[in-house]
Amino acid sequence: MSLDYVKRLKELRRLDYIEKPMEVNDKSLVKKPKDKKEKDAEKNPMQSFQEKAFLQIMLSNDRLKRGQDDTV
Amino acid sequence: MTQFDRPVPGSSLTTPPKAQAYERPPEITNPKEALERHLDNLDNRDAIEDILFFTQSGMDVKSLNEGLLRSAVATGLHSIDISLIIAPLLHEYLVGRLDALGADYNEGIDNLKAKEALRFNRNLSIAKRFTDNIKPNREPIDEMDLEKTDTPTELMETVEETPPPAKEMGLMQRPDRGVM
Repeated sequence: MSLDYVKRLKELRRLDYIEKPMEVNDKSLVKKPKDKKEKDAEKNPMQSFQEKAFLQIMLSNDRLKRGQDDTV
Repeated sequence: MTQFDRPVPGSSLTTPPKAQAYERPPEITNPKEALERHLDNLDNRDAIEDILFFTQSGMDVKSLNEGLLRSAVATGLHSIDISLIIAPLLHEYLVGRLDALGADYNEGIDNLKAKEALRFNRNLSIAKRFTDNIKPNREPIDEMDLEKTDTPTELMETVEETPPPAKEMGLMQRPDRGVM
């Protein structure tokens, strides 16, 4: 996580922090899906707040843009 | 900013302590609340019109965003740390609004002038290397060697055309003024 405003903005726009859906293997008991808590423990709370808020703002921007494009 | 365009040392001690808003604890310490406050402030017609006006006037979104956050810090709304956290989020919000309005704006993220200057310097260094390689004669030039000096032909001709020097005269001899 960069403190530089522009760098951080570019990091957030890359969207590589979005969690991909986990593949749950029902057949094997050996391979269990990774514990979600472990992943969250790596990130600091400010980072996760930024990511969530950024996604929400992106979604609202997208909704706004679609609303503009819609023709009645 | 010039050398003297800054506060005199000790000028902060001339006002009572905690007189300024930024000297007191900030009003909001939670980044989420600070972001909500900013979004509420920006979510009205006048604010959007102002943003549109400034971006159309040539101000980039980054400067605009930094100005918004700095004014919030100066008025004691939140601290600089909160500004650092919410800056990219507010930037994205502004960009989204401007996109929705179909405005032509400069984000201010990619500094085009700096990029052009860098490209120019790189090209200059390549050109210098190139010209160093194509120098045809690298023999040292003896400046005192008169045979190697190239006198231009025009100069030679003018030298030939100059009139011959006058007759030699004695030191005490008066110049001949002609017959009166």
